[in-house]
Order: sequence, then C-alpha cells, then structure tokens
Amino acid sequence: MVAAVGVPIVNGESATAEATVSGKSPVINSITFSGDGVSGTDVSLNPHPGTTSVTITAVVYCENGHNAVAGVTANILPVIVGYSGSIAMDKGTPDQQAHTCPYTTTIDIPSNTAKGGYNVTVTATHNSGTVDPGTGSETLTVLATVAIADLAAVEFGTIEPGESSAAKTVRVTNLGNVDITIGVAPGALSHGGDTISAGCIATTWILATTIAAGNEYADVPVTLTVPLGTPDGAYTGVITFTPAEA
Amino acid sequence: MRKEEIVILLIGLMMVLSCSTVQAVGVSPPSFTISDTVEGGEYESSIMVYNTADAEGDYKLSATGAGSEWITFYRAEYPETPVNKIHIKGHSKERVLLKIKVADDAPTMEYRPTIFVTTSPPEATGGGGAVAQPVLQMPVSATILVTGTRH
Repeated sequence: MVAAVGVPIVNGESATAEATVSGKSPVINSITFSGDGVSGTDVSLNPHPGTTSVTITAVVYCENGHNAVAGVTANILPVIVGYSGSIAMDKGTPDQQAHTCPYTTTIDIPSNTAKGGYNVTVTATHNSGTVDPGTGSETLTVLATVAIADLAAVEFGTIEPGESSAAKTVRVTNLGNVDITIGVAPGALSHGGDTISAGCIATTWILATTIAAGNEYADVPVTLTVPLGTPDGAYTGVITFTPAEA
Repeated sequence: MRKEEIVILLIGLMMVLSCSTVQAVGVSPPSFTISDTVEGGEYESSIMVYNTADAEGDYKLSATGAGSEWITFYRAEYPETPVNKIHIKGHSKERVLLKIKVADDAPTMEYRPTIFVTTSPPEATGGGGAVAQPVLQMPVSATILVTGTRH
C-alpha cells in the first residue's frame, strides 16, 4: 500500500516527515494616535508648563504568529524633545485568530514643540535574523496652540485732573507653541455715570512686536491721562489683549 | 534666622503672591477651514480651550463677520445643548464643538468669520485709584468655502 504522498508504509512502522515553514516579515496593519488632545492624526498641545500625552498604537500582523515578532519600535522625525532614536513599544494582548497584536508607547510632548507634521515610523523585527523587518508610518500633526497669561489689574493709582499716571506695564506671557503678536485695545474707565474715554489710556506697544513661543514674555506699557474736569472717584475698566499667531 | 530677616522674607513672599497670574487662556487650533460646503448643509469643527491659570474662570464664546450667524457652540460632551459661555477649572481644558449650518440661500463664495474666546475680568478691587482689568480675547479664524458642490 502506498500513501498519497508516495511514502511506502509498512504495517507497524512510521515514516519521517519533514517540512520547512518560511519566515514572513511582520506587517504593520495600522498606526493610530490617542490621548486627551488628539483628534484623528492631529494633536493640540497643552500650554506651558504642561506636556501632552499621546499614545501611539501599532497593530502588527505576522503570518508566523505574534510570537515570531521579536520587538517593535517607533522613530519620530523630526525629533520631539526627549524622543530621539528608537522608542520601544510594549506588547499588548494578541488576537490569536487574526494573528495580530497591538503594540503601544506613550510620549509626553513638550508644550513648546513646534507645530507641523511629525512622521512616526514603526518597525517590527522578526525572531529570525534572516527575515526582513516590517515597517509602516503615519504622520502626527501638532497643531498651533495660542495661549497667553497676564498679571493682575493695572492700578494707575490716584491722578490729578490734567495729569498723567506713571507708566505702568502689563506682562503678557506666551504659553503656546507659536510666536505671537498682541493687539492692545484699552476701554473706557467709568465711575457711576462718569467716564474717562478709552483714548485717555495710551500705549507705546507696537502691534508687529513678536513674543516668542516657550514662555517668553513682553511688558506692555500703558499710561492714563485724566482730562481736566473729570469728577473724582475710583474709575474702573478693561484693557483687551488679542493675540494672533505671528 | 533673626526676627528682621523673617519679616523681610514674609514681605517678599507677600509681594510674590500678590503678583500671581490672574488670567490665562489658550486655544487650539487658532484657525480652521471647512471646504466644499453646500447651501443648507451642516458641518462640525472643534477647538480646545485651555485655562492655565490657578483659578477657575468663565470664557465667553462669540463670532463676528460674514457667516458668523451660522455658528453655534456646544460643550463637546453635551453636543445637544448650545452655550455662549463655558466654565473651566484652573489648569484644565474643555473641547468646544462648533456646529456650522450654512444658510439655505448662501451665495457661493468664501466666508471668513472670526470666533472669539474671551475671559471675564475679575471684579475690580482697586484701592481707590483708577484701575484697568486685563481681558484676554483669543481669536479663531474660520474659513468656510461654499461651493454648492454636492457629492
């Protein structure tokens, strides 16, 4: 009796069978991003001094099964401060049926990271040194965050009618990741029904002046001139600061 | 430490504390574009509003310019309740959902409304002199392209 494979079978004895399974390169099925400020492949950064956590998840498929994948790393270019070179990714729970496994790593992006595209390349290496690794990439886009902070109210103090206050300053700090300009718009000051018009608050601030990203600041000078004939009293109002990406 | 040194230290500490940041606000992104819209169509976008001050604060939401009347604001976690103001705890953030309903008779053109996120100034506590409170007004530039192209 001859078996279908042409191996003669002798009753009571067994035959040796051999086969070699080829190693197959892992495949990066998908790369996704998640986190508080993430929307799709975009991320909005928390202002200074915070960082923004982004979790990178790569789903890796290998025809030889998930245990054939020796390791998975991520590389980000241009470099995000603190994350140069290969970043090891942690293995998650495999899907045995689909022969896939998720790998994750979380990066904390500094608040002054420039806006723009950051290419994330994921590499999965096979246990066998003779099998090529699998790679995939996705772009994470860091959006602009325009953020400012300022100190407390400007107290011009007590001023004689017809006189001007000493020059006061409002410190405006850039907490975002883009350079900004600041528009300064004083409003009128009022005390009951009496008003000191907005034009009485002067500033020498130049609109085109840029405040650099990364917690840089500028002092905006303001001076109040009280017209003759202004009734006495404690006058209050606002000065509006409007930043814009430079 | 001598008594005089302690007094000087306390005065210095009080001066530092009195200069603490009162208001801080951030938005991301500062601009966005919605392309290829049609008359009567409904679209969504979102911005993140940050309060990086220590204290909680109220932030007014408004829009100006052509197309601004199409925009309604919502807190992202309550997308059915329109708002014109949001309250954010100190050192926290809130995602604001923008729903844009293009007018049924909107001419085909580009619209550039500006959205503003504005801080509410704290109550003036001037010591009898003239006081000006800073108000921070963050603009978000929107571009809405009405092309009338239906896909």
